[in-house]
Amino acid sequence: MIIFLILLLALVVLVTGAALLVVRDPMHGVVNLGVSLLALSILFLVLGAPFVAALEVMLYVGAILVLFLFAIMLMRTPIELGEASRWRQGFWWPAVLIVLLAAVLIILYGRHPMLPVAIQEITPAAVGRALFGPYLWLTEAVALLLFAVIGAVLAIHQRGDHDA
Amino acid sequence: MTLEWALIIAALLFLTGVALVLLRRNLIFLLLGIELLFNSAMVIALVGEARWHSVTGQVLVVFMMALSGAALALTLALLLRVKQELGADTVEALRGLREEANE
Repeated sequence: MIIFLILLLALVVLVTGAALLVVRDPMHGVVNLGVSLLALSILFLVLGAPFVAALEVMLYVGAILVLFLFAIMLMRTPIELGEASRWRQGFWWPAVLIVLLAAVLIILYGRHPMLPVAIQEITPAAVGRALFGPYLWLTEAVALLLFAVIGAVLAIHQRGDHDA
Repeated sequence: MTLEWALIIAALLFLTGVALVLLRRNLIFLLLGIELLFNSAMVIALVGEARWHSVTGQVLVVFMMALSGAALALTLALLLRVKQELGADTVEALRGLREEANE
């Protein structure tokens, strides 16, 4: 039963990824990424990580996607359908590299590394005990980093007299 | 079979992310590709957690989310600045920046 759910999730990720590759409007790309992220949060739930699944919805779909929407809104790109190319110049060699990477992955996955493991759920309480126990200093460092990002964003947007 | 298919989904995400970063012309799609790469790494960390029944995978994913959010806020601010200064949001505009620096 669970395998059908996983296959469905793989299909959703494949379709939204393909759509991300070919859509022209950045807004459509963001919506496709949102669908992909929701599918991933279900996958995280299946893998026994309910805390991370909730964080994926709240942080990625709720915050990062909204950041993208704000950026698209603030950039005010005029809608130009049809004439603008969606690929960059000289993209053939990177395309060849990506096909080679896909071939390597297919060969790698063809060797059937079986992982017969019963998945057991790891509760948010255990994650919290780990975050504020052995990883306390790392957590505080990340908090400091997120605080520093505010200053960095302000510095990027500062229009001083020296560069006017 | 669940973990194998999760790894296959991670591989799909990774391929799509690399293709977006390398092929697309619009800078917003480049950033979307970077987010997909982060998510692929998260799936692999959670597969490791499910394999070894360890809480470290989820802790790693929490840190990865915070770091990717921080990096994305900075790069989106830079993107808005590029749009203001250069008037374009494509990779070719940044290529012009490199040619100016070489002169």
